[in-house]
Amino acid sequence: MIDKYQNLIFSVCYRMTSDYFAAQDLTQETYLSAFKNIESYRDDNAKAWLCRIASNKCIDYLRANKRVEPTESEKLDMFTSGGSSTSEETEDRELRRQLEANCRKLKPPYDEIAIAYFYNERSPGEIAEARGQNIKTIQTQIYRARAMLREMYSDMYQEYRKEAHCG
Amino acid sequence: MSYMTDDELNALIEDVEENHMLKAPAHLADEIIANVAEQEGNDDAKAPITVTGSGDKTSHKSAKRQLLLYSIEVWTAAAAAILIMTVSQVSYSTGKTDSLVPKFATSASTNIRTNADKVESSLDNIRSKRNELRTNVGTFVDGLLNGEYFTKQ
Repeated sequence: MIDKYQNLIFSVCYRMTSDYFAAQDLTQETYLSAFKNIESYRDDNAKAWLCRIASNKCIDYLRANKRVEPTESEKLDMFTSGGSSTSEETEDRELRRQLEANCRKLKPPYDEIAIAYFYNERSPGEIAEARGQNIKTIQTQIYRARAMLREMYSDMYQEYRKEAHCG
Repeated sequence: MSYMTDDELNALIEDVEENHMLKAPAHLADEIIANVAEQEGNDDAKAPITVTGSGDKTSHKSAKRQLLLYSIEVWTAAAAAILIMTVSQVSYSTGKTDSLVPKFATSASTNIRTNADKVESSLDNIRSKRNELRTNVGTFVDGLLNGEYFTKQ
C-alpha cells in the first residue's frame, strides 16, 4: 500500500499545503492513521480511503498552523489545476530546483547534509561513510536540517499566501 | 474550511493524478515503515496483556488468574514474615530489651561473654606472674650488686 500510493498521497498533500516538508510529514501521518484504523477499513477503494485521510489531515494542519485558509473559490482551484498548465515533469523539476536552492541556504555543515539526503536522496549510512562520520551524528544533522528547511518552507508559504490575498 | 465532500475529493484525486503527480522522496517509505514499527512497539509496551478478538473472555480470565496468583504470592510472603516474627521467643517477664532477641542470638552472646571472662582471668594470671618475675629479678640484681652471691676470700 505504501509503495502503491505514496506518490499520490504525497502529491495530494503537497497540492493542498504547498509545503514540501509538511507534505512529507502529512504523508507519514496518513499512513500511520491508516495503520491504526486498518480494522475499520471495509471498502475496497484503498486509494479514496487514504486520500480522504490525507485531505482531512491537510485541512487540520492548515487550521492548526494558523495558515491563511483557502477560501471556497481557492478550494476549487485546488482540484481544477487553478489554471496552471505546467506539466508534471516541470512541476517536479521546479520542486527539486527549489529544494536544492533552499538546502544551499543552510549554514554548514547542514547545507551539504541536506543536499546529500534530501536532494540526492542518499541514505544516512552512505553519507556517514562518505564523510567519515558517525551515523548518529549524521542522523542528528539530518533532523536539524529538516527542521530548518521546514521553517524556511513555512515562511515561504506564509509570504506566498499574503501576496495571494493582497494581490 | 470544512472537510472535502466525496465529489470534491474525487475531483482532487483526478486532478492530482492527471496534472500534479510528484515523486515522493526516496526515504519516505522507510520512514513510514519505521514510524509504524515504532508505534507498534509503543502499543505493545502500553498493553502487555493482549486481548484477541475471538478469545476476549479467555484472555480476561487469564489476566484475572494471573492477578490472583500474584496476590497470593504477595500475601504468603507477608504472612511468612509475620510468622517468623511471632515464633521467635519473647520474654515479657524479665522486661529486658534483650528478651526480644531471638534465642540463638541470646546463647551466642552468652558464649561470647563466658569466653571473654576466661580470657580476662588468663590475662590476670599472666599479669601476676609478670609482677612476680619482676620482683624476683629485682631481688637478684640487688643481691648481685651487694655482693651477696660472691664468697669473700
